[in-house]
Amino acid sequence: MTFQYGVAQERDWNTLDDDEFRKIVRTEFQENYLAELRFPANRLSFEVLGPWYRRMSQKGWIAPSWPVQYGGMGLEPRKVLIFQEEVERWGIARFQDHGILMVGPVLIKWGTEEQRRRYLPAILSCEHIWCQGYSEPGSGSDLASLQTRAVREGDDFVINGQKIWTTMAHDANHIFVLARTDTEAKKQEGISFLLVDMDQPGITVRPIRDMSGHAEFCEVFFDDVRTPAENLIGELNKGWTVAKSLLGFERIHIGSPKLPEYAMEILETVASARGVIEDPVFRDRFVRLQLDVEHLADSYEHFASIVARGEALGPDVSMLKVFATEVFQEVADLIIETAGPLGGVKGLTKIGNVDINVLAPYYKARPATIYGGSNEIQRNILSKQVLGLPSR
Amino acid sequence: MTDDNDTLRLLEEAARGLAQFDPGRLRSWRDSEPGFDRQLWREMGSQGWFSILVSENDGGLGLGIDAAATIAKQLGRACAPEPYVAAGVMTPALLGSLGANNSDSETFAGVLAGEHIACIAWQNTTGSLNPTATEVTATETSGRISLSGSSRFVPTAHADSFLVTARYADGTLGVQWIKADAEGLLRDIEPTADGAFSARLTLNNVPVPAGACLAKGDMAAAALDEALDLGIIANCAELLGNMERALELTLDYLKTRKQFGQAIGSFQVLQHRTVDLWMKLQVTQHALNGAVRRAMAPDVPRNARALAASGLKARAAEEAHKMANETVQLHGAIGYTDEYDLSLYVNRSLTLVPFLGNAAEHRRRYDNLRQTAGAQA
Repeated sequence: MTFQYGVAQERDWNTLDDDEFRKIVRTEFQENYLAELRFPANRLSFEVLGPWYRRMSQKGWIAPSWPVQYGGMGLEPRKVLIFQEEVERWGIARFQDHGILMVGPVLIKWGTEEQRRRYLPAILSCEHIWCQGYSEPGSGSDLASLQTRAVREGDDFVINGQKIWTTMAHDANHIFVLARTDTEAKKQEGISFLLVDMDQPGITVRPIRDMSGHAEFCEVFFDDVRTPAENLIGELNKGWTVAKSLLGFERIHIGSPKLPEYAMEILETVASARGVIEDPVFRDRFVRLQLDVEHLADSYEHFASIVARGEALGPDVSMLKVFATEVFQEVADLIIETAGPLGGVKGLTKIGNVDINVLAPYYKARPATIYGGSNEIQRNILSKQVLGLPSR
Repeated sequence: MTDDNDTLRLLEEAARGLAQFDPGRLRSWRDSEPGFDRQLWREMGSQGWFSILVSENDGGLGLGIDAAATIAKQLGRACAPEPYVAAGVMTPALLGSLGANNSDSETFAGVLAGEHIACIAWQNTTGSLNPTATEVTATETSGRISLSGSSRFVPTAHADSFLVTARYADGTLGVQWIKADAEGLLRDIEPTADGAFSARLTLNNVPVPAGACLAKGDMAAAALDEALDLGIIANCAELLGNMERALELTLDYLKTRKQFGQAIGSFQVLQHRTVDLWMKLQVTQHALNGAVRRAMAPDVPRNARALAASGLKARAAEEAHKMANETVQLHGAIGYTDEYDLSLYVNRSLTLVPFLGNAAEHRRRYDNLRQTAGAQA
């Protein structure tokens, strides 16, 4: 008998036509997702989101893009896009989903059968919540210069070092780590990809309070942390290849027009309430942003159609991240400006007769040009890999 | 509707072959009337480029705006001065939907063949984008119609005939086909930045021959709206081609020009500015594809097509103007000279951007259309 991952799918979703599938997904979200959790201003903890994601898990919908044999929905790329578009359209909060987005696909591609059996069921049931240990204090944009060491001792790797900007590490119980296993090799070539249980004494998680007053990312300290050698994914010293193989079509989600579209609705509400919606100066700026969002959607459509055809995205997809995040910031800035004296008020506030968190889009948009490869790094990529401009 | 990528590819290849960038040719035609090559125009006609939007029943190809945009983009890359959008896209679209094949089949065939150049004179002397704001009035006396008033910004000053829009006494709009040598028709030539010529027409009791009033009322207004919006989309495709070549010239320069002992394209500040230009080009291309898709949707409402066109032109006009400015700056002094070919693209862009409305005008039109659509919904 073959091992059964997750729950059985109620049907082969790929046989449905796109509109029918979209309707099923939309109905599920609209009828069952709590209204007060839509479009949250901050990342929510698993304590709050657990009921929804356990429901997704029991339904077999927790891993839309995984193959059915591993407990996923087995959706072809165009259906994954539709699923994701509906998630974004309904403003469903993300949980700390690196297990679904990263660890699962990595294990499916690079893992052994034993590693899959050990980890995939716990990801699908949300028992293991994963975070990503990549950036370090001295290695941000220049990630390959990372210094965290992993040394083989008997059957274990012993890890020492520090990670930073680890999103929701305080909400996770497992971490996947890029660590240096060969100090002699060239920088990309001495790195390994390791899975680590965070429930051990050598791990210290220190949340970092951000400028919005919340803590969504953390420092993670490794002090003689042990992980069994069988938690090495892929070959020793080939972790860079493993990590890079994940930069697949998830890259287009960061360029989705849904967040700026939602921010435009807030902007319109604020402008109406403050009586400037007809003001010609406001309207010119508003229409510019409306067109930015519309043409962002056209750009997204271009890359989505490549994904839907099952083709690989090129380095030019970086333009989508840059455009989406910079437009999002402009909308957020205009919300603050339009709010006038209310632009400096924290939390929910009455504008006209609606409650609006004026600063929420600002705080959400501000780091978007930094994370996921800063927009300056994206421009470097475009300059070299797409335009072929020379290096110094 | 053109749903055939092979057709588009063949058209693109044909356009690339016929309209190659030839700076010697461009410099020889500019600043002397008529400002473009009528022989090349006939060759374009014989390729069927002016028949794209005309139905097969009327002897056209029955293709869509995607096909016309494909040609226009290549002409933009070649910086060709031939008035393809005005006289090869808008005129045939208008004549086709007004059934001109029935009223004057010979001249109609001449237009499609490139033997006869006709141009729409729809804009008033203030340059309003609203075709109902025409300053030409049509007067009917004992069954004879005559036109009086002015129209300006007619892009092909040396056309053989004009499709003049005029308001009748009952307030309806009509489209009249008037020969360039008609009695009472006065043409003032205005030079444009690219070295071509546009016309300001003054009409003093110009007689409208029998059958030359092609349509009146809603039919005329709807056909005119469609021709304008399709023209705007094709104009944006031409701008896109212009932008693309201007950026290519700049990339070549950045890779070869050396200062401080290295290619200037290795300086990060120039790299990032160039990436931003490339992104403008990409966004404009994606916006063009989106607008074409929206405009070609079956039974597209007038308002939706107009929104697609105006939203696109607001983008293309703004980005094309920035592209012209920035590519000059990235070159340095050589970029400002007449001798260097970039100037041909910049001057063409300066003409194409305001033609059929610039970015600010189209943001306003887009906003008005959206608010009208919202009020109706």
